[in-house]
Amino acid sequence: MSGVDGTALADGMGLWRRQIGAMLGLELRKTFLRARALPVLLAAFLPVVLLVLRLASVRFSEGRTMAAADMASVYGGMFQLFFVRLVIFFVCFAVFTYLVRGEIAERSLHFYLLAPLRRDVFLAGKYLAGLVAAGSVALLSLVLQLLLAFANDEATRGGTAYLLEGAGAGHAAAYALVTLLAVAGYGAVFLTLALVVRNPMIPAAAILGWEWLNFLLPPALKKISVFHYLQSLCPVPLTGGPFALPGEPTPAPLAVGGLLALVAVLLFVAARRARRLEVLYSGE
Amino acid sequence: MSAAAAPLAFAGVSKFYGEVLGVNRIDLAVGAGITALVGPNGSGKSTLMNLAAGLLRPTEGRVEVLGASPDRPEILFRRLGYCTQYESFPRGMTGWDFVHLYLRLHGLAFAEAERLARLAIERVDLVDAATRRVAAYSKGMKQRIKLAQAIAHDPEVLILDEPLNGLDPLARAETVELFRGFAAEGRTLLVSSHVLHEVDELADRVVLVHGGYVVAEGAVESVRDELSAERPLQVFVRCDRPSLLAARVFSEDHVVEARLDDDKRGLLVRTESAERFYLMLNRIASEGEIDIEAVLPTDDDVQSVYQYLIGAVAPGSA
Repeated sequence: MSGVDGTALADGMGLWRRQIGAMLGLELRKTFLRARALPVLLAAFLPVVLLVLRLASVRFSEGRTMAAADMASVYGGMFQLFFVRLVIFFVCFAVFTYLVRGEIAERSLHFYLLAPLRRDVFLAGKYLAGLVAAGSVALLSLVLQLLLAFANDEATRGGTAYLLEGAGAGHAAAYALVTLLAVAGYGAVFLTLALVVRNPMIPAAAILGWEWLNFLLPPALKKISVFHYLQSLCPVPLTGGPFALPGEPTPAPLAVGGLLALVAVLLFVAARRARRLEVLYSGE
Repeated sequence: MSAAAAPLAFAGVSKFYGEVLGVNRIDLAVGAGITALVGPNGSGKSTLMNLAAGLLRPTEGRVEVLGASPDRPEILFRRLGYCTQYESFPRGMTGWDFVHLYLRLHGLAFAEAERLARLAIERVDLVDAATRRVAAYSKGMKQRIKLAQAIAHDPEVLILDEPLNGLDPLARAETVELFRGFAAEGRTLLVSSHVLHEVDELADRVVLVHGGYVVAEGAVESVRDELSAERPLQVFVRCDRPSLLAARVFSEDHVVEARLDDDKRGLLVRTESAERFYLMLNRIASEGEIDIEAVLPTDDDVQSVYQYLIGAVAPGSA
C-alpha cells in the first residue's frame, strides 16, 4: 500500500502535542459551529446584557449613576454570585459534558478511539479544548463586563480612572485569573461527570446546590468545592450575607494550589475512567 | 493456526452487556488473507470486531492483535485499521477532513497526512466528493470514506464491518478487488457480512456466528465436508443419459438419493461423501459411456452451510 513515512511521525511529547493540536482544531470547530453553541453564548454574555441595560437606563431614562468604588462593590457581588457561580458553571456544564456525552449522543465518539491515541492524551485533548472554548468565551464576556461597568464615566463616576489608574487594573487581572480557574475547576468537574454518569444533568444540579450551600458545610467538606478556592481570590470580597467570606481569606498561593490539586484529582479519576471507556451508543 | 501465532486472536472471550449475552467463550485465530465473519443481525459479529478494536472490553478472556492488547490503542492502531458499522461522523466534517484529521491524530506531519489522505481517497475513488460534507454523502460514499480512513495509515490488519453495504455493483467489485489486493500482500482482513454470496466471492475462510457463539469455521468447502455426514451434499449433474447415471450411482453406499430432473436431462444426487462422489463421477466420465455436460453443487455455498448450521443450532431461526 502507500506506506507511512516514518520520519513524518513524531514521538514522545512531540507526538502528544500534534495529537492534541489535531483534537483542538476539531473540537473548537464543533463547539462553536453548531446550533447548540447559541445558548452557551447567550448565557456567557448575559451579564453583558444586564450591564448594557444599566447603561441604557442611565442614558435614556435617568437611571442611577454610581461612584466607581460603589460600582466596584456591586460588580464584585455580581461577579461572584452571578458570573462565576451561575454563568461559568452553566457554560462549563454545556461545553465540557458535550465533549463526551454529546459525541455519544451523536454516535461519533469512536472517531477518536480508532486512532493511536492514548486514552489519557485523548482526555487531555478534550479538557484542553474545553478550556480554550469555555475560557475564551468567559474571558471575552469578562472584558466586556468590565468595560461596560467602568469605562463609561457618565454611568460610573471615576470609572475610567479606576480601571486605568486605580486598583481597577489589578482587580481586572484577579477577575481574569478567577475566571480561568473557575473554567478549569468546573471543567474538570463536568468532564469527569460526563465520563462517569450517563446523564450528568441531575448530578450537576446537586453540585450546583453543593456549591451554593458551601457556607453551611463543615470546614473539611468546604475544601471539596471549586468556589471555596475561588472565593478568597476574588479582589472585592462580599460583605455581609451568607456568602461573605468568614474570617481571613485563604492565601492566594494556597487557594490556587488547592484548586489545581482538586482539578488534578478529578482529571486522574477521569483518565482512569477514559481508559475503560467503551463505545456503547443507545439503540445498539 | 495457533492463537499465539495468529495476527488476530481471541482466547476464551466473552462479552455480556449487563445480563445480555454479546459473545460467549470465543476461541478464534484469524490468519493472513480474508476471513469472513458471517451471521445474522445480533449474532455477535460487531461485538467481536469492537472487542478486537478495543471499543468494547471483554467480560472474560483476552484479545490480541499482532501481539498487542486492544487496551493499548497507541500501539494497536498503528497496525490496525477498522471500518466500523457506524454511519455517523463528527459534525461538519468533509470527507477530506475525516481522513486527514484521522492521520493527524496519528501524529503525522501535516504534509505526510495530506499525502496519505490523498492516496487513500483515490483508492476508494472519492476524489471528486472529498471536499463535500460527509453528512451529504450517500450511504455508499459514506462507506467508501470510512474505508479510506481504515486503510489510510497502511495497516497490516484490517477489520471491516459490513464494508460492502450500500455500495453499487461497480464500487462493490472494485472494493472486493481492493481487499483481494490487500490479502495478496499478506495482510489480514476480517470482513463481516450478512450478504452471503459476497462471502463466497471474497473470503478464503469463513467464521459462522450465531447467538454469540462461533458455530463453524474454516474454508467454506471444508466446513461443508465436515457436515456432510450429517447432511448430505446435493449435486446436480447434467448429462445425456441421466437414467443410466442414476443406476450407476445407486450402487454406491455413500449416495443416499438420486432423482431425475423434470426435463430428463439431469440428475440430482445427494451424497454423504463429496470426495468419493467426485471420484466416482470422474471414473464414469472417463469410461465415456455417459456424456457429462455439467456438475453443479447446489448447496456447498456459504448460504447453504449457514442455513443448515443456524437451523441446527436454533431451529426456525434461519
